[in-house]
Amino acid sequence: MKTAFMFLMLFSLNASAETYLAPAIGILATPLSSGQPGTESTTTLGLEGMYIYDLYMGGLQYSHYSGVNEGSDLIGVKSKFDQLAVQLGIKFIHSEIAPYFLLGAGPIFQSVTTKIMGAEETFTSTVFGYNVGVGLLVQFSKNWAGDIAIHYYPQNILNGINYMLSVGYYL
Amino acid sequence: MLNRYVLMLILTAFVSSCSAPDSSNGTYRVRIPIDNGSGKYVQSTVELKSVTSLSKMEGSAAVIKDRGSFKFFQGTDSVESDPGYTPNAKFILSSGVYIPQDPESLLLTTTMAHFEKLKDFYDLRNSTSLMKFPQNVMVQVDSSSIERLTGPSAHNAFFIPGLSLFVFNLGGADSIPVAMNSGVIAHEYFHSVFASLSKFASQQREVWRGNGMNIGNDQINLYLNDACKNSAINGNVTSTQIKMSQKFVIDSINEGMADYFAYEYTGNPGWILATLPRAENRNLATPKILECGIEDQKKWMVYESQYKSGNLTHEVGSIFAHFLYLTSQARKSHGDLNGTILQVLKFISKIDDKVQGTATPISLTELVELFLAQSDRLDDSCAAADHVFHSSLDATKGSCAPGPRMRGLR
Repeated sequence: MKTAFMFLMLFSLNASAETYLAPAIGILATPLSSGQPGTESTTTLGLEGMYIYDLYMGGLQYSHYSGVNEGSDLIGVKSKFDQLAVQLGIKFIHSEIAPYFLLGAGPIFQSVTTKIMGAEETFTSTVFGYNVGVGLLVQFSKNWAGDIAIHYYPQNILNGINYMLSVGYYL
Repeated sequence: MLNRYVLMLILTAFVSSCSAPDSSNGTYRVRIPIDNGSGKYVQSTVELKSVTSLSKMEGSAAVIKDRGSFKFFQGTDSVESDPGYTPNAKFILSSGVYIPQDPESLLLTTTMAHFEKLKDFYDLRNSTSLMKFPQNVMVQVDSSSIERLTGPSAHNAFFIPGLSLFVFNLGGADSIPVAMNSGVIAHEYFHSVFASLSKFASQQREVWRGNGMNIGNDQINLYLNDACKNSAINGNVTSTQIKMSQKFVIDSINEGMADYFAYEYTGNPGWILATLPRAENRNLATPKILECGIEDQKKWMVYESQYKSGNLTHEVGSIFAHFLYLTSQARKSHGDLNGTILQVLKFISKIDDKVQGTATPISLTELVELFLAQSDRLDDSCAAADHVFHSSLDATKGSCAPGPRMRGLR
């Protein structure tokens, strides 16, 4: 994680490089636990920093998934996730509106709190998670851009599609 | 340009290969709430060895489907059921233990764990050789779908012998859902054991319900004993009425034994209260006394099966369950932890013999005497029978005869 951050910072110092920094908001849609058709959604908040050189992209993304808070006073479960992912991607074209392909990987920090008849216990876990995404980077002006991205998390531990929107600044 | 697409292909293949399969022949350790023997549900870590897919809830002990529907049409005995969906239960893995991420996953995992543990429970007692595995289980079934069966009821569970199917309704938010209640699952599971061991039961194709009783705790003795003594039959009893009355008493015994095994599995005589707090009369420790004589009982069984649709099977069964509970308690105090369980399992085939050889209605007391006749520790079971059935037990005919043994234990 530290190495990746230094990698990002080094690229940011390069005057010829473009570095995109932005807060992000999104929705993570995961399949229903019951197996019924449809998805359940939770809010995602994040921050992304992406170095862009020619068609190549690399950077870090931090995401917080608010998870579920379901059940009753008798039996309730709350869960939430955070992920710090190193992202590597490729833009398809040189353009102010550029579609891209992205691969992300990094630790997922999980937390589940279970409450049974008033007794509460919390479990945490850190696992390595991957995601693959496509997006559209739209440059509004010399310094401002927006990013619409769809990330697919294929693992059992975090399975779903995250729709993210960010509006940020080119350094 | 070509290099770019090759790189994308490699990245995609890499991500796809990292998708962890949720299928294993190994052991899953899961964290679920279990009745600690006093009705308090506490989080416990349980090992699952029969599960092949934890997210899909599939294993050699049971396959669980979620959110299906079920309709039973009383009278025609026809069933319409939609099995529902293959679950997609979610977990985090914390220190080697799978923690369900949401209440639905928690419920599914708990149900699966009990079905595995109950199979182990009966495997240990050599009672599963005639059963089919995996068991088919439906949970979170919409209660409105069974309106025509019993009326809307959130807290109910069923076993359907003809389909080898377990159905657990949606639970309410105010109590432990039926599919999480260790005792309710054990109660229904016993019905499947009974169906496999009883020739009589194997010929039936009706629903065995796990519902509670509607009458108050303080009224049960009065209600049942009055119902017994006031039952009137017009005219001669036909062979059909005899069969129906026999079925009623065997269904009642089945319910009573199911309640008893739920107690043995959970260690909690009041296992039902976590789901049905007002069903204190199903608490096995609650005193119950049947004061009807054998002949009055026979009339009652005919009347009940003929005119009341046999709705009292749980109430009558609770009397037998209390008798088994007292017997078990007495034997356990002497260090015999397993004797009553094994005797009840053997007793099932004896009931078949009794019914096949009888052309008259059967009373509960006669079945108790049949149970006593095969008791190894007669003193304990006679004391229990004397306590529950003392005024109806015919000491001159029963296995506790001659009288002094009974009188000495009073």
